[in-house]
Amino acid sequence: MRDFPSARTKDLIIEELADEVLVYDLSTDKAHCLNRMSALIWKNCDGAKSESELAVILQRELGTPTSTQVVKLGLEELAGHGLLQEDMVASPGERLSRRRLIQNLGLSAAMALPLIMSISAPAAAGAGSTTNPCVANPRAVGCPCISDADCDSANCNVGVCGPELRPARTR
Amino acid sequence: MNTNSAKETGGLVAAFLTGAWRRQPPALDFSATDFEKIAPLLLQTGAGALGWWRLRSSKLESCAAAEQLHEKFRLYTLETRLHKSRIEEVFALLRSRSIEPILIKGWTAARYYPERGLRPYGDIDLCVRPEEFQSAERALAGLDPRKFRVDLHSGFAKFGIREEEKLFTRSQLVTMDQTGVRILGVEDHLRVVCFHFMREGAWRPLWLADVAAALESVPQDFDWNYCLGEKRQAAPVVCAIALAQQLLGAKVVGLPEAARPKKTPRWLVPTVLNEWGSRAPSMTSRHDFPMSGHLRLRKDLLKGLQHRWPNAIEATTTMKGPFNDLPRLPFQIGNSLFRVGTFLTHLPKTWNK
Repeated sequence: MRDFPSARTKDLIIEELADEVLVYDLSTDKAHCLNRMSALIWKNCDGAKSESELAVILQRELGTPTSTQVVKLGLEELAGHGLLQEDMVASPGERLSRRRLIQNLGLSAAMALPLIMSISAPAAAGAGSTTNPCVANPRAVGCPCISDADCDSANCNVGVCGPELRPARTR
Repeated sequence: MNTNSAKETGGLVAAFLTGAWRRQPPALDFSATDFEKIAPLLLQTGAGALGWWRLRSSKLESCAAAEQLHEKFRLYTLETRLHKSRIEEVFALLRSRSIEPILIKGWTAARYYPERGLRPYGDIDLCVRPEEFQSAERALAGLDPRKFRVDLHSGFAKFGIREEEKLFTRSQLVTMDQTGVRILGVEDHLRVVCFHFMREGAWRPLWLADVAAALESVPQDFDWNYCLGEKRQAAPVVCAIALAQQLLGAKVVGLPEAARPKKTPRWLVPTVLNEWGSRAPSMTSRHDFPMSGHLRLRKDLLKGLQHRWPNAIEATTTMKGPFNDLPRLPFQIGNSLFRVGTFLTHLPKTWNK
């Protein structure tokens, strides 16, 4: 891991909520939810602060002692979810284990550890009149279609995705 | 699920969502067992985030299903950002062709909720003047359908409104993120969300929450006479308002006599609860599997027909029937015949595709 981590900012949609930050990665179509600790680390990754400086900031913001190990874990989580610049990824030998950290810090401290949850990507059924699961491509059998490419079965028949057609056997 | 148990479950959904659209929903007294029973229904009908808003800080917050609802809130919050930029793109595109559309439902309904992620919206519902419909359709044809789910409507007839020019005149321009988008005036918005809820057979509790949220936000100078229009046109709107009050506890200040039904038809509430408590509301099955698919695959044809049988609310609203205690069968038959006619008219077009 580089000494002065830097957060990725490109192709991301960021929504700050009261106690967490939601991030939608446009390049991978993945959405993440950062808890307060992860969000604080990420926000302060400006390429100018070291891990120990980040620990001091966290300590000040959260009002609890924070070790550099916690920062390291947070950075690894961020890197693992593609939220740091590419060259920030830790080598396997350097990686921290969350379990080991919990053993070291105690169970009560575990609740405050940096955590990133993946949430199902946007564009799920909303509240439109058509709750249609047929909106995703390729579509399931029975869904309306225009061409074969629209259907999971590659068989668009009279405007409806039909079952997959077996290729004709060659003699 | 039999009808009685569906109605009971629907009653639980209604009780759970009471006041859910408010910044501070009322205290929740609900058992974990009942909550686990209705959580899948909330998720399935787009009311997951609203459900989470309702149960925050209650003892139900620790239930496993509560986390699923919370996740929906997070998801919808992110989706809102994506959708808003897409709406702005669509407006820019149509304006470049000198077409000024009006955005309805979706984002315009979500504006009445205290948080962005509470009311999801997928489609971009746009109404344009009938004479502009074809050019709007041509302009939108170039958009990627995977990103832009635009539901384009020719005028407002579908929403029970005929005097369209007045509606365009009363529309307002509001700022979204960077662009101004045109939306309906408050009276027309309430009319449209009420009518839409009824026309779709009242199957989605979220749509009644839209009505409730709009009702509780009516300004002091709200023109009820204009909103209700003439008597026949007002009937579904009046019934939707009554349902929002009766089932979701919507509180309306200064509701005039004309906006209160003299007597609620006896079938009205049971029909709504039956839809809300059903694991597979007929309307979703209709959308999920088009009739042409049933015909072509000759699969579950009977089930397909059964799903297309309109409930009393849909039938009465679409056939412009009176909301009284008389049997609904004539309207249900009328609605079915009308839809069969439309289906047969469109069949050659579908076939040729």
